[in-house]
Amino acid sequence: MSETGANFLPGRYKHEHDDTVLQRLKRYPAINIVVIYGLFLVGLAIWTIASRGEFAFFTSLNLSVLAQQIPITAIVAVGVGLLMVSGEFDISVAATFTFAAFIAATLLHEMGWPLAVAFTAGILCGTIIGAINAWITCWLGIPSFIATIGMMFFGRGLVRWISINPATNLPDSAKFFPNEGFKAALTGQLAGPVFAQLIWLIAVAYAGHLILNRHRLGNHMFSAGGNAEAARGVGVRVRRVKLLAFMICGATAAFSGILQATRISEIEPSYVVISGLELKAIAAVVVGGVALAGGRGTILGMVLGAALIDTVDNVLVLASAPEILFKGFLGAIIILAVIVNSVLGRRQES
Amino acid sequence: MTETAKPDIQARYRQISLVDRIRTHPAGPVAVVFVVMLVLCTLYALANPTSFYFLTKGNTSLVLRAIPNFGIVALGVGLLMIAGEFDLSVGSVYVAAPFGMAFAYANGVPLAWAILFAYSIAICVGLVNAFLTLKFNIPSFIVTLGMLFIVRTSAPYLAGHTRSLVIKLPPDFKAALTKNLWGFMPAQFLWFIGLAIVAYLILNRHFLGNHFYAAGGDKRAARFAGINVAWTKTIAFVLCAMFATTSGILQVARSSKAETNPQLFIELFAVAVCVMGGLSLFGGRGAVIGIVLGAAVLQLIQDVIILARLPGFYLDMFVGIAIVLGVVMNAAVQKRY
Amino acid sequence: MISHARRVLASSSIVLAAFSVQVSAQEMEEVKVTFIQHCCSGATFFLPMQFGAEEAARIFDVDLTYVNADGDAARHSNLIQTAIAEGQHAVIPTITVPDALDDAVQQAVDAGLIVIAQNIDDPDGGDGNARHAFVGQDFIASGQIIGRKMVETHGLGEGDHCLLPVEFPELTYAIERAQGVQIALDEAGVTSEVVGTGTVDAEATTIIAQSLIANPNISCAIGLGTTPTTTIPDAAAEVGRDGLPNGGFDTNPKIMENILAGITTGTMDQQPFWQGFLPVMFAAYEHRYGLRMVDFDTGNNLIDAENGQKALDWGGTYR
Repeated sequence: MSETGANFLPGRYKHEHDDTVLQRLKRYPAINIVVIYGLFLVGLAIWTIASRGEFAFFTSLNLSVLAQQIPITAIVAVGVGLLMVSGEFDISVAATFTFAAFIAATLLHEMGWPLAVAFTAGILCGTIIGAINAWITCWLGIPSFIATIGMMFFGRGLVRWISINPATNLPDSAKFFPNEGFKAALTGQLAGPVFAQLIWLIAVAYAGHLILNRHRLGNHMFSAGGNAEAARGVGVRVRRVKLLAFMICGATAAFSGILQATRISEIEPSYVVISGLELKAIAAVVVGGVALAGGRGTILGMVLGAALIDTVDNVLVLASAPEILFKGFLGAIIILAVIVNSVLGRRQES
Repeated sequence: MTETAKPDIQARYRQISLVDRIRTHPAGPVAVVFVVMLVLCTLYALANPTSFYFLTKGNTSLVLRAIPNFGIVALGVGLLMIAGEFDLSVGSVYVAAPFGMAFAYANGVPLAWAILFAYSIAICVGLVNAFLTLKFNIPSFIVTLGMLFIVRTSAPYLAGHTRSLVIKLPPDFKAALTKNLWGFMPAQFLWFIGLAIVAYLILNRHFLGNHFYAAGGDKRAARFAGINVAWTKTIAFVLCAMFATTSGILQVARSSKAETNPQLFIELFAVAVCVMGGLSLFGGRGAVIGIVLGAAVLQLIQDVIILARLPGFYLDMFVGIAIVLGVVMNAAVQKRY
Repeated sequence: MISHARRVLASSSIVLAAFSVQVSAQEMEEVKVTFIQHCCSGATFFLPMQFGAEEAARIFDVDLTYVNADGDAARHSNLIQTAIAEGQHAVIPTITVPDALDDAVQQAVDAGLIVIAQNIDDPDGGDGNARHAFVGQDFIASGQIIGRKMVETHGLGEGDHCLLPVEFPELTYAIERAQGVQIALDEAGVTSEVVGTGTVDAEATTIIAQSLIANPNISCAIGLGTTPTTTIPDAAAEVGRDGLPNGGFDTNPKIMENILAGITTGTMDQQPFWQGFLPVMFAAYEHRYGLRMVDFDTGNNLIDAENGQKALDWGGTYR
């Protein structure tokens, strides 16, 4: 924390004010991913012009596809990112995502509970799963990577259990038909390619920003993730900070799950197994410049990291890339972005 | 160290009891879990010989055949983890390299060359993992996550329409890899023990092992001690991919077929096995025997769940609980002592 | 296998040459089609489907975009909307869940796209979804066929117990196939249990074998997916239960060899080639000539030792 303290020394402070805009931009922590994503969009614009409009990336409909998809990944990424800043992993988000949506749907349609209660219960479920992860990790003292792998398998069982259709005694997808007002509020189309999900993403991201950069909790997260021993030394209650981070992560995953269920009116139990959301979220966060070991990261980076991964995927579809290679391209993008991040990061330091 | 202190230390060293040694050994907790489980299962099986078929020859042979599958992958992942790095790409190497062997063999390449081909695929992946991780100084978790996807998709892409092969290996070769000896001892298990001994020799009887521990424990200290950390880690990456390939080849021999279908979650199981076996997720700590016992415990749990006829539907759920419980025990024991 | 590939190449290029004469004569407009495989990138089951779609695209001069929804209904709906945005003439999705794709399909129909579902349809057929036609197979019906075949061939009845291993019990194909098989087994009074095996062959073999040890009363096994169907015979042999009546779904070289050797009784082939080929052909002809498409049942092709040889010879391409 002494580093941050140095910022407030008068000389340093003055020096910062004298910097040119460019220099100040260069020091902005999420600058790498902003530049990468910006250059990517410029490339797409050139491609569109060169193809004389054949390339459909910037059509309103395609952008609205992205406006509905990116928030799903990005909201999960914000939770996973805050947790990673605090120095912990969560591999169980896909399970939380699906389980929370199932809880909401079951309570609403099978138990006949009011929508608001069902929705809250879904989010609460995610938060509780996060709290359990935190308990196993921080109080029982085992690495979160392993604890949440365990939770991933356990959550898969939970989803199988809750999705059992009594008529066939086999798992089945569940319908989720909340009332029109709720649907419009969560996933309605506002104007052109702007959907309510985007507003929710901005809200979640802004809340994340406030926590991380404008609240004491954020400072504690950085210090707990950067050096837990030192953090304890200056009086940060590391376990409690991580508990909160885990609960936020669970809650965002649950919210994203319900958002998705609202959009498509249905939840599939198979989502846990084959979506790969947990690794996708971690990839998004790391692409966005969050340090895998904790202690460094920005909300904008997490959101843009998720946006980059979903945008690349969309472009691969538009470009008719071979189906089998999609995931491979994704893998390559992850590695490349992290290399660029790392190389640029080192140059900034030197 | 003065002359007088020496006998003192030796005397104290001798005084350390067996119990203390088990407590302090990285694989101590998992060994206790393993023995307790084995004893309980045996007692329960003796009490219910007609409903719990744990002690039958068939079951013994089956469990011993199953342990090496994740076990051998975990040996490699464990060596690398001790050297302070991760490898998630093993899940794809396990599929792609043996498929390469089968593909070459089916197209008339002599078996020895086909095997060499498989291992060269593994070595290439290991080298790429090492290069990207060490050259650009980025977390191996991310590099190998990317490689997991890249290798997973490029294998079926290159294979074109031949993504599933029946492979008729020479009978001698197949027998050497998979024969069931005396009705309960599959050759796979002997190979597993052999490879574990090799890993043990590398780790504990060769200077490379010291380097692994040093590189995984404290990089800077290792450098000061004159250890080439990059080179050490590169060797660990390559070994890891080769172990995964070996496990894949044993599997191809067992089922006489090779496919490029993605076989999901092997990489996570391998990490789980290692941590259950007492390896530190952050490098520098662990023992080979822990990996062997970790793999054994995971298979035992699965075996017991199915044999006890608990709903097979929820197998994953029990596996998840078991992983967490196993690691919690490790942590508890280590914290206390 | 190389010789197969050559044969395939040769045969398809002959067809291609034959058609290209007509094509140049009429100067066909190129039809743009998006084909959405609903999950499981890299799985062998979908190979003939992709091969069929690509062959139809070559023959009928279609600009084909082949994509994968990765088992995620939201992504599936994204892909349909992306197809609309791209100005495709037709989109060929899979209606994996009854309601999730309704909006996207309606949107595509409204935008003037031809929508043909393949592989899986809405449970209510055309009434439940705005798609124009469906090419595929009824999972429940095919489950009944293999179930009855097992009952008839092995004389199963009261007191028999059947193991139904499947990769992931929560996936749609698993659920519906299990339902179908159970209907057939119930008729004969056979009981059954489902066990999840995952996609790792070694693990699947072990889990099936353990189930056989745990319950010696199991007198038959029907794999509901490729992995278990392939590994049941190995598992049975490893625990000394050689000759355990077994059958299943899908084809691959190993399954076909087992069937030809009489080890496996039979497997349900839903002829994924047709599910790839026909929708692309229908789309091209509807777009060019306004020919109305029809629902097409790709059939429940039960493969046993008598008709299995061709399925082995053409595995990975047409079968």
